[in-house]
Amino acid sequence: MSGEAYDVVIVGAGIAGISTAYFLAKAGQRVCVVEKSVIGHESTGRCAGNICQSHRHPADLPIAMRAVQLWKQLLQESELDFEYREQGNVRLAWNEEHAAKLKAMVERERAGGLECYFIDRAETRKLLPIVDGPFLGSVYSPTDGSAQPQLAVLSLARAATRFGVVIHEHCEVTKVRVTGHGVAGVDTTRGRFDTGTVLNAAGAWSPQIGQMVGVQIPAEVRRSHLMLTERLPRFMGPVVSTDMYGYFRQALSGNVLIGYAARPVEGFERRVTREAVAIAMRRASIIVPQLQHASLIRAFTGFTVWTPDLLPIMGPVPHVKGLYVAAAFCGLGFAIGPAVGELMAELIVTDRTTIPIEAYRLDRFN
Amino acid sequence: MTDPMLVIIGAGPAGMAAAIEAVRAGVRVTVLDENLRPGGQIYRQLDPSFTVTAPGALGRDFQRGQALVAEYASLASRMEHLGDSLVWGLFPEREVAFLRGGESQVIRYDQLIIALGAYDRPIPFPGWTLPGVLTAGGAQRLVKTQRVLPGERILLVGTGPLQLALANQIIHAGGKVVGIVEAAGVLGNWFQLACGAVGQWTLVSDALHYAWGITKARVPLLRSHVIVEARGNSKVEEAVIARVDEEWRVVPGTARTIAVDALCVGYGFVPSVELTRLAGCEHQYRSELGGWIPVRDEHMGTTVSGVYAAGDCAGVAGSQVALEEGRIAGIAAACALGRLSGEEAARRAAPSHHRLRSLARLRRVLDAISVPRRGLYELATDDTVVCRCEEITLGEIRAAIAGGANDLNAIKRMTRSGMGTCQGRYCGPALQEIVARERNALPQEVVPLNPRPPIRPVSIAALAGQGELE
Amino acid sequence: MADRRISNGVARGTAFEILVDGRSIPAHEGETIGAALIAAGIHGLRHTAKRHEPRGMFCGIGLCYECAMVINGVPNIRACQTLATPGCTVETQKGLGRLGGAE
Repeated sequence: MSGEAYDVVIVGAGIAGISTAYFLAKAGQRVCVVEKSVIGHESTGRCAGNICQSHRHPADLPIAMRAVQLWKQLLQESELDFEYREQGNVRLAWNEEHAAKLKAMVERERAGGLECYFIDRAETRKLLPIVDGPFLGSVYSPTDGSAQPQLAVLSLARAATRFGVVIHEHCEVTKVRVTGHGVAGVDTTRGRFDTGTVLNAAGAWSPQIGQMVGVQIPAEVRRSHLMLTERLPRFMGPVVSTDMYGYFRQALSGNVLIGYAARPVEGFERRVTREAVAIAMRRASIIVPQLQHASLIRAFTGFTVWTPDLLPIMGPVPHVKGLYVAAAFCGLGFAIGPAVGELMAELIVTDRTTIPIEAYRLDRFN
Repeated sequence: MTDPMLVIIGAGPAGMAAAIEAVRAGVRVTVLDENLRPGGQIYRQLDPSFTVTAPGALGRDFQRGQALVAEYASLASRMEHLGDSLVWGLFPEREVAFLRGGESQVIRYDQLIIALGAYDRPIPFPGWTLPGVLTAGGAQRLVKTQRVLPGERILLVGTGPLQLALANQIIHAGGKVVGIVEAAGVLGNWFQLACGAVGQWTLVSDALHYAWGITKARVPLLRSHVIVEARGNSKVEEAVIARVDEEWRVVPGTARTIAVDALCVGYGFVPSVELTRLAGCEHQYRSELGGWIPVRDEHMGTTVSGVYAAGDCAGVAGSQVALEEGRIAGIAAACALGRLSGEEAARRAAPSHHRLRSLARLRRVLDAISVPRRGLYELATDDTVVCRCEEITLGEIRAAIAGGANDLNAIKRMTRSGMGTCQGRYCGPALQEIVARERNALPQEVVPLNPRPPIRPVSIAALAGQGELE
Repeated sequence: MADRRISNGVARGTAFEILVDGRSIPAHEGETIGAALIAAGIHGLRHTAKRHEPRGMFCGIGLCYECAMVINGVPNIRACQTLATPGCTVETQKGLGRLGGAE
C-alpha cells in the first residue's frame, strides 16, 4: 500500500520545519510537513521571540545576521503583522570578568560585521533608564530585535501553504521507512507518506525521530520558563538580556515577558515550578524595578534542546541517504529560523549552502 | 509555617461546611480564603466599618449566612483560618502557593478540598461593555455589602431565582427595579416543579417571599424575553429587549426599548475550575451545571487522589447543595486521613447524601428551566466585543475559526482572546459555545484554554519578596 | 451630585472625601472606591487602549479588571477591590495608563 508522495517530508511544524518547507516550496519542491500537535505548539510557540545576533557562538554570527535580513523580508511579504521589530538588545555585565568576556565578544562580532558596542553603566542607564541592579555596563546591539513567535510561524506557514506546502496537524510519525537505497517515507497516525527525503525538525522530539532509524542525536532537552505581566504602558525599548538572570522584553501589546533560563528536566515535565516563578520575579523586581507595580498573569514552559558544544545540528544524517536533521538550537532557534530554512532548503536541493554549516554536522560528535 | 494535613481553599458555604466536619473529626485543618472574612459570595459579610442596624433589611441569605459563619467561627481555635489569602498556584508535590499580607507563601497538604465557587456567566451582546452594565453578582455585591444602588432605573435581565432575590434586595433598599426580564418561558411543567419542591421548604418559602416582594412593588416580570442591546454614549441609557422562542432565539419584530441607567445581567454562573484543571483533574462538560466541571465520585473526590471539589466550583447548584457537598468532602478527607472509620464516615455523611438527593429533584427542574439555550450565544454581532480585555470582536473570532482555529488555544494564539488580565474568564465560556456553533460541534468537543499558573494575577512585588539578586 | 447610598439597615463609618479626576467625591470607611464612584453616579472608570471605549465596573468581585483605574498614581488598580482612604487620588485610566500617573 503506497501513500501520498512528496519530494520532501518534514517532521515538525516549528520555525525550523516551516521555514525549510517555505524555502523548498519556493524552489519548486513538493513538500509535506507532519506535526504531532499544531503549528508552533512547542518550542517555537513558547519562546519569547527574541532575535539576537549578538552573544551567540562565533560560528553562528553569519547565519544570525542572514536571519535578520530574512525576517525583514518576511515581514514585508506577510499579510499579518507578526511584530518583527528592531528594537535593539542591551546585555548587562555583572562583574569585571563578565565585562571582559563581553568586550572580547564585541570586538569579535564587530569584526564579523555586527553593529554592537560596549557601554558603561552611566551610558546604559541613559539608554535604558528603567534598568537597575548591580551591573557595570552592557553590550548594546541596535540591530537585534524580536517578533511574536506564534504569529511569525503562522504567517510563514500560510506563506508556505500558498506555495503548495501541505501541513498535516495532529499527525504523529510512528515510523521512518528506510531501505537499502535510503529513506523511503514515513508512517504516521494519519497515513503513509512516500518520499526520498525526510527532514527531522522535531525539536525536543528529534532524538526520538532519530532513534526510529538508529541515529543518535546527542541533545539534552531542557525546560525554560516564560512569564508575562499584564499589559503595561510602554516603558521599555530594547530587550534586556542578562546572561545569568534571565531576560526582559516588553511586547508591542505592552505585556512584559520575563524569561527564566533553561534547566535540565526529567522526561517531558511541563509544569511550571514555584522556584522558577519566585526567582524570576525577584530578579525582575531588582533589574526592572518598575515591574514591582505590575502583576504576573501567566507563566508557562517550553522545551529547548541543547548540544554539548552549544552549536545546533544541521545537515545530512550520515549513512542514511535522504535523511536530514535541523534541530537542537540551544535556545536560539527562533532567532535564526528563517536562515535555517533557507540553508536546509539549499542543502537538500543543491547539496551546497551559501553560508557554511560544516560546524553543525551531526557526525561531529563521534 | 505549620504543616497541616487538610487544606481547604475557599470559605464560602462549601468550604466552611467541610472545615466544620473535618475539625469535628479531629483533623488538622487550614482554610485559605481570599476575603478578609469568611462567607464567600452568597454569605459575604459587611466591612466592620458598617454597623448593621436592621439585620432584616439585609435579607434572608444574610441571616442564614450569619448562622453558618457563627458555627464556623466557634471552631476557630481548633483550626487555622487564613483570610486575605489568595491562592495562585498548585505545585508538586502537594503544595499550594498563596499571597498573604503582600507576601508569597506556601503550604503543603495531605488532602485538599477546592471550594472556589463560581462567577457570573458572560453573555456577549451589543453594548454589554457600556459602563452601567453589571453582572447580577456584581450588582448584588454592591447592594448587599457596599449598600449602594447601581442606578435609579435598574433593569434586571437574565434567568433563574437569583434575579428575584436581587430584585427584592434592591426594592427593600428603596431602589427602583423597572423590570425583570426572564429568558425562560412560563414554567410549563408545574407538576414537575411542585414534585421537586416537596420537602424543600426553605427554597419554596424563599421563592414565595421573593415573588410577593416584586408583586407588591409592582415590578413588571416579563418571561421569554432577553436583552438584545444596551445603548448609550458614555454609559447605558437604554436597554433593548425582545421576545424569544423556546431556544431563546429572538423573535423578529418584538424588540422594545426601555430607558435605564443600570442593567444587571444574570444568565447563570460558571464554575471556577482553574484550580481543579491546574491540579490535573479530569473534567466533563455539563451545560445544566454551568459548563466544565471536575469529574467526581460520590465523596466529592476528583480523579486526582487526595483532591476534592465541593460547591459551585464543581457544578453550580446553589448554597444548600454547596453546604452538603462540603460536609461530604470534609468527612471523606477525615476518613482518608484515618480520623474516621469507613462506617463512621458513612454514618456522618448519610444525612448530607439524603439532603442532596432531595435537593436534586428540584435542582434538575430549575436547571432545565434556566440552562442557557443557544439563542443567548447568537445575540452578539460581528461588531460585538467578545474578549473584553483585548477588545476582540466576534467578527475577528469568526475569521480565526474560518482560518483554521478549532479550539480556544488556537483562537487565543491567533486573536489574543484569552490573553488578558481576566485570564479568559469572561470570554472563555462564550467562546466555548461560539466555536462549537461555528464548527457544528458540541461544546464539549472544543478544547478549552490550557490551565496555567498563576490562576489569578499576582503582584510581582509580593512574589519577589526581599533579598539579593540570585 | 447623586447619592445612591442605601440608608436602611446599616450605619456607615467615618465620612471623608476622595479626589476623582480632580473633583472631590464623598466616601466612607469600609467603602470601595468603585462603590463610592457608583454612589456618586459615576459609572465610566476607564477608556480602553485599542477602541478607546468607556468601561466601568462589570463583575464587581475583582475578576474582570474592567474597573482598572489609576489610583494614587499607579495604573491597573481595581476600583471594586480597593478601599477608599481619605484624600486618595483616583483618575480615569486612559488605555494602559502611564507608570507614575495618568496620560
